[in-house]
Amino acid sequence: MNDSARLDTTLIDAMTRFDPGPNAVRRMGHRIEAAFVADHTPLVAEWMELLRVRPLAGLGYSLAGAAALLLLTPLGWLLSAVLAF
Amino acid sequence: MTLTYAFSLAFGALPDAPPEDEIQALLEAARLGAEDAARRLYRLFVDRVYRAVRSLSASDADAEEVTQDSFAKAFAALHRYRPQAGKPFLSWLLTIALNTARTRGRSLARRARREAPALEHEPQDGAAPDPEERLLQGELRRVLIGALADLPERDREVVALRYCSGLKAPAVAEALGLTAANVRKICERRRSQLIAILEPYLSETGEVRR
Repeated sequence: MNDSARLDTTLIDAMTRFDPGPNAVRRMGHRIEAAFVADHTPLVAEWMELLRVRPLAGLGYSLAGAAALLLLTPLGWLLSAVLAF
Repeated sequence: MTLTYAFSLAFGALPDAPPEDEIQALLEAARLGAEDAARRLYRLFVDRVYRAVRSLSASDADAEEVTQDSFAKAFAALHRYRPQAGKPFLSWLLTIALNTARTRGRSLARRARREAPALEHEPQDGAAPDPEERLLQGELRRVLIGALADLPERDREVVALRYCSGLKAPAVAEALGLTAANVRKICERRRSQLIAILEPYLSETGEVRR
């Protein structure tokens, strides 16, 4: 290896001090991947995703809504009666 | 992955670029939306892009943002990339990174002096456990950043592409709109200057090769 090549190697080795740490590589990778997926997801697919029926989640929300109505309606009456009194 | 490339990766030196046909196959897959291919391209080039960007940025955080933006832009523009003989994919990717760094106007020269202490940099895998050794490595990094900050912008970009990313002189020339002879001249001059500054630290770490 001649002098010039040796000095090149020395400087290239020194520049490895700038290598990103593993956490930085992971962080950047996650963000880049998210951008990549978003770029490759057609708009129609995104809309269809919003319209997708989720039976279990839907049932959960319905039950929670019904429970809220059943519990809160008598409490509301009671509260308004107390305030009127 | 070829054996030579795997070998150079395993031993930490800046390896030769992976075979261009392998890269082209990955690019083709990524163009069609294959996440695995995009992930692999990122892994193959992140160190080289980050090193170059870091040498041009004011802080690690800036370099991280510029690097991720550059990859995101490059992946979004893959349909515009046309392979050319003598112009590796890395060269195209680095052109995007350079433009992103310039657009942000966060050139190292203005703010490097105010950069947080080098030891705040996240240690790499296999970083020296010895605190004295880590201090020395951090100091070397800080001195390197300072030395690069003192270079004129064009020379700093040449050094970044040649020594941080490992591009050959003709590819650097193509990316920066210079002649290859001019790039070689700048490299020779700046290399001697940088090594003279770094020599005391490199001697201590036993890395100087004269």
